[in-house]
Amino acid sequence: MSVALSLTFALGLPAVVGWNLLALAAGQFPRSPFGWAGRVANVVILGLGIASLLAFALLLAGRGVGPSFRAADAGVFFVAAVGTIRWSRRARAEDVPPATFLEKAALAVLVVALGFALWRFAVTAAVMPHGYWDAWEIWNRRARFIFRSGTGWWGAFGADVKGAEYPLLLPITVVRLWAYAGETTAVPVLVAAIFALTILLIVVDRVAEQAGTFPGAIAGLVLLGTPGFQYWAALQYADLPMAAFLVAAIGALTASERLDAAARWRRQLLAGLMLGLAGWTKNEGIAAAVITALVYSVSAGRRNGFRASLRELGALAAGGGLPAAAWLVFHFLLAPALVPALSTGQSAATLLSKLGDADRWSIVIWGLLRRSPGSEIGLPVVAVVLALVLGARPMALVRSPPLWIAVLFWLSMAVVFVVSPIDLRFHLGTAGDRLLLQAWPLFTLGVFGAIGTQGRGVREPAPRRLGRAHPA
Amino acid sequence: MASLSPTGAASARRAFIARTTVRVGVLLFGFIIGMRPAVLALREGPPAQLADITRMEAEFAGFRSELPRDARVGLIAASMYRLSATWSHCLAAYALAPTRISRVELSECVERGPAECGVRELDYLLTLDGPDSNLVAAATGFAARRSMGHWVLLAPARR
Repeated sequence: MSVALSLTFALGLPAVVGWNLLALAAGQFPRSPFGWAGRVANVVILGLGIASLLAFALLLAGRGVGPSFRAADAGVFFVAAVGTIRWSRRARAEDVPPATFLEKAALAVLVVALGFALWRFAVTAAVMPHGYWDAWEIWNRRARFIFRSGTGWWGAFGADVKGAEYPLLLPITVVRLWAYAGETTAVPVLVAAIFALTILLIVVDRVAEQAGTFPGAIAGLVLLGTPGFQYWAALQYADLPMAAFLVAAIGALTASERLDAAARWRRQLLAGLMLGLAGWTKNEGIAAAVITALVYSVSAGRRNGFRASLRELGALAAGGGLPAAAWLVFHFLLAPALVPALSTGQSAATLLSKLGDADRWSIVIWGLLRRSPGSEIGLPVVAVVLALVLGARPMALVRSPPLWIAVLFWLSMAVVFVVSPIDLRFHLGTAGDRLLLQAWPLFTLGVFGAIGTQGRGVREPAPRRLGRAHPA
Repeated sequence: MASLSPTGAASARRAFIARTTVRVGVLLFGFIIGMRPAVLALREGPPAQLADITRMEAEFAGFRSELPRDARVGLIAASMYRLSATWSHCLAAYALAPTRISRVELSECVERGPAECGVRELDYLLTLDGPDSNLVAAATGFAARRSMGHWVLLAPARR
């Protein structure tokens, strides 16, 4: 079986289960190019996330990666796909009115820009098939370690292995695909492409559903216009996969407000699962999950009271249970250290002293501002101005939960840099831009999604057509 | 359905034209922004790194297949192929995975003795520096003095 066929099979099986789960959690979606694209994007990363959890369980239960691993993986997914097939009947594509000329033009422009971005990705991947520094030093090396070690795969988590404590989703996803297709650099390249493309499609779909096709396309162009987004996508780091799960979770939550209680609860479970998978990808995902839970429970509490807030938290926590359990088992059995690079040699006194150091704050804030996504052309400001021009109301921006989450996440990263034991300028220089990038898709979603809301935290009545949610 | 008065119709037409003009402008601006990173990057070309990794992979391919799983391998922390010691150490760890690679500061070992830097614990000592390198010469002499029969010293004459 060729590599392409093997990979199609390995990606397709969990995607079928993902499709069924998504049909249960979020049955309706718009019958439009963006609606389908967003649906497929969600299904693929949901499948990859679940597959990484299963692969971890199989590794723990079995004896490394081999034919039995592959057979068990395929068997479980086949049974799960058959067992959940009836849920797929809940998926209904809703008819939408035909797109206007401008909407079609916007779609065409987005496709052309995406074509160029994919070309750039392919050129970079051809020259750097192993990715860049962290990709081969940490993520792909761990994948090699686990895949090549056979029964000795536990050795990949020794104290002398760099990055042994980093969460497992990305390397284990690569290992699982290698188990089907054999060890090839095409796999990490493909995984990187999938996650980057997923982010774009989810943002475009969510903005289109909230604000219309035209703002959706503009949001996509802003994302593609972010130099760091294209740059880091091709270098196989874990930041964009984490961002993909994060934006998928928020996408599920933003669409849940107008649903009935049961449907909303299912969406929140799905969002919780995606948040958990973000934490299973990178530890920053845990911070993002906590911030998301906080923002949405406060928002629910303000609208419907304390009990609603608790229900929201409960559903998110329940959804994130499996990835959280995997993370705990991983640290309990394999990698006891949590974040040694940041915690070694730190005491309460040094932390407090750094937090009170105005010079450090100044270096961090200015350093991060200089490294913010698209800062070369002031893209964050450009995005806000474009959204205002397209009809977003300032209060809608101020009250946008995705924007709040993005901003709070960036603040939390600023705190991490302030207390970091690593040389501050080195740390900012090597990690600042990509850590900010993790919440950039969320920022884009929040800014352009705000075009479709009134600014009172309540969505307008359901739009009659997707392209005209808000009369600009 | 109520019909618009002539004034209302003209006003609606003006609003439509204004909205369409704004959107066309936004789309053109978005097109320029969206294309910019890819076009700039394609013009510059991607950073080249493949050669280092490919060379390292090829260098170690045979050696890796012969290594026992629990081999303790030390890599001389000298620059290889004019790469920094840190860079080459990380590359070797990637190329030889799942073998664990310790970084050996050989100059210290030669000066202080093997016990000081833990080389006695190692099964293999690697370097990719050319035979003209001072460090490799020192390592060769060091290995000979210590009667390291089971140690492998890789010192291909490539630069």
